[in-house]
Amino acid sequence: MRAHFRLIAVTAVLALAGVLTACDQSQNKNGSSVEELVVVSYGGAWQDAQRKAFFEPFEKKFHVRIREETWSGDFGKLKAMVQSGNVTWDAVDVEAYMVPRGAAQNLYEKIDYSLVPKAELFPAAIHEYGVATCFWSTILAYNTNAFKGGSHPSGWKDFWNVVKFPGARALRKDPVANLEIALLAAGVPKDNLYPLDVDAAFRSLDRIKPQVRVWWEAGEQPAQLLGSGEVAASTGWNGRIYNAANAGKPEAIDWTDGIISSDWWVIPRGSKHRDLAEEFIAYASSAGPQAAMPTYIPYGPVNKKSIAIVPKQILQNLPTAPANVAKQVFMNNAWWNDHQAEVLERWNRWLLQ
Amino acid sequence: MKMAPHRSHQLDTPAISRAWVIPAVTFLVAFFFVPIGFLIRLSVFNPDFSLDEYAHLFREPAYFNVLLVTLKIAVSVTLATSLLGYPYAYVMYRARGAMKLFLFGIVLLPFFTSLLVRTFAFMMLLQDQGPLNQFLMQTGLISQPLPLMYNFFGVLFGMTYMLLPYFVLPLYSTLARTEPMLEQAARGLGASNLRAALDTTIPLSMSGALSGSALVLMLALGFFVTPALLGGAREQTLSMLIADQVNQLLNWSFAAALCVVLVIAASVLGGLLYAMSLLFPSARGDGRAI
Repeated sequence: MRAHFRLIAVTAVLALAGVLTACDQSQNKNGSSVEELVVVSYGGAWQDAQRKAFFEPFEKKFHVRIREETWSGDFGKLKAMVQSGNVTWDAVDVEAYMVPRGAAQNLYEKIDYSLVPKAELFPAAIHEYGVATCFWSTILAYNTNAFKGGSHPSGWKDFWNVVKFPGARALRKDPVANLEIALLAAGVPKDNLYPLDVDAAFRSLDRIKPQVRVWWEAGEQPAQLLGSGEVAASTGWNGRIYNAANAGKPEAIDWTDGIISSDWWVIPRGSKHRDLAEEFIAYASSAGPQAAMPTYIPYGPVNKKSIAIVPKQILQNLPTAPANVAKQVFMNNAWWNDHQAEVLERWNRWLLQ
Repeated sequence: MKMAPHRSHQLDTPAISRAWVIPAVTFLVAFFFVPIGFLIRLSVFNPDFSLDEYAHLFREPAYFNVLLVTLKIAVSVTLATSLLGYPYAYVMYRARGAMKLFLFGIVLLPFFTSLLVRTFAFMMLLQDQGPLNQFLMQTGLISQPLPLMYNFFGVLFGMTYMLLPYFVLPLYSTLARTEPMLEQAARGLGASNLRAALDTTIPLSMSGALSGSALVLMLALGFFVTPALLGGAREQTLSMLIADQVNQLLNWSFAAALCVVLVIAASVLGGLLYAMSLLFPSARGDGRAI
C-alpha cells in the first residue's frame, strides 16, 4: 500500500537493520522493569498518527512501554522471523493480503475476540488471525487543470473514456485492485464483482493500455505525476492524494467506484508478549482511539461507533464516511489470496505484450 | 607434483603465499556456495523432491520473456558503459595532477548517495517538466517533451550512470599498470598516435575492460530498483519477479527456482566473457605485459 515500497525494502531494510540492532542492544542494557511491547508499522506519517492515536494513550492506560519498529512490508522477513523461532515482534501492521496468506502458512497467533469489540467493527475488518486497523482506498484522482468547467472523470467508465476526458493515464503496476477497476469500467455492477471474471478484466485492460503513460510502483508517484500534469488522471491511494491537494497541488479525489482496502494488526506466532499484544489490538480497535486516528491522517476507522464521533469536516475525507462508503467496494482479500499467483503471471505476460 | 616452470608469474607464488587465499575461499564457501546449495535444495524439495517449480517456470511464457528482457537490459547497459567508460578511463590514464583527481572524483561521486536516492533524482531530471526537457524546449530543439523515462531509454540511461564506475575503475587500474614507454616506442618506430595506442595500450588493457564488463553485467542482471522506477510496462526484470514471489506470494520454492535460473544465466554470460578474455594476450599471463 502507501508504504509498500518493496523496492525500498532491500535498500532501506539493510540500512535499518544495523540501526535497529544498535537500538536493540541499548534497550536491553537499560533493563527497564516495565513490560515492553514491540509494535511494527510502516513508518512515516502513518506511524506518527498511530503513535498519537494508539501507542501513547495505550502506554498511559496500561502502564507499559511500546517499542516501535519500522518495516517496509517485506513479508518474507516476517516469515523468516517466525520460522527461525526467534520472534522479536509482538504486533505488526500488515497489508490485507498478508492476513489470509500468512494464516495459511501458520505465521500468526489467533485473535482473542473476547477482548476485541467485534460487534462494533465493520465486517470487512474481522479475520480469525487479524483485526483491521484502518481503511484506505484506491481512488480515481485527477489533475484539476486538465478538466475545467466542472466536468471531471467520475468512476472508471469515465477513466476509460479518453474521448470525453482526454489526457494521459497512470495505473499501478500490479493486478490487485486494477482487475476490479477494469471490470467496473466494463460495466460490471459493484455487487457482482466477486468472483472476478479475469478474462473480462484483461479484455477491459486491453482497451485502456494504450492510454497508460505510467505504470506506477511507488505510492508517492500518482500525487507527483498529477501535480506536475504529466498525467491527467490516475489511480492512487486516498491519503497521498489528499496530502498533495492540501499542499496546494492541482489534484483532487473522486470517490466513485473506489476500492477499499485495509491495514491489519497481526501477532506473529511465537510473540513473547502475546497477551499484551492482544490487549493492544483490542484497544487500537475500540471506538475512542479509532476516532482519534483520522484527526492525524485521512484513513477510515474500522469501528462503526467512531464514525459518529469524528468531526464532520474530517469525516468527508475518509474512505469509510457513510457518503463515501456507499460509492465504493470493499476488496475481497480471500479471492486475491486464492488467485494472486496465477493472476500475477498473466499480468506479467500481458504487460510484455 | 612440481608446477611447470615456463609460466613466469607462477615462480613467485610459493605455497606459503598461496595459503593466504584460504580465508577468502572459506568465506566464499560459507557465504556463497553453501547458500546457493540451500537455494537449489529449496527449489526442488517442497518438502518432497519434485521438479514442479521448474516445470511451471518453463510452461509459463512470462518467465522466459522476462528473462530475455533482463538479458537485453543487462547486455545493453554493459555495452553502453564500455563505450562511455573506455575513453573516459583512457583519458584518466593519460591525465596528470589536478585533472586526474578531478576525473577520479567525478567517477566516484555516484557512490556517495544511495541507489534509491539517485534513482529518484533521475526521475526528477528525466520527467516531462524536468530540467532536461525544459532546457531542450527552451532552446527550441524540440517542441514536445521527449519521452526520457518510463521506457527502455530511461532504464538504460539510469543504469549506465549507476554502473559506470564499476567499469571505469578496474579498467583504469589495468591501464595504470601498463608501461607508457610501449606507446612511445611504437611512435618512435613510426606509428601514428592512434596506431600506437591500438597496438600497445589498448590490447594490454583488454583484461581490465573485460573484468569491468563482467562486474557491470553481473550487477545489471540483478538490478531492480532502477528498472522498476524508470522503466515502463515492458521493462520487467527477473529480480522484480523474484521479489514478488519472496515478499508478496511467500512462494519461496518458486522464488528459489527463479534464482537458480538467474544464476545459470549469469554463469553462462560470465563464461562467454571469460572465453573472450582468452583472445587477448595480457589476460593469458604469458609474460608479454612486461
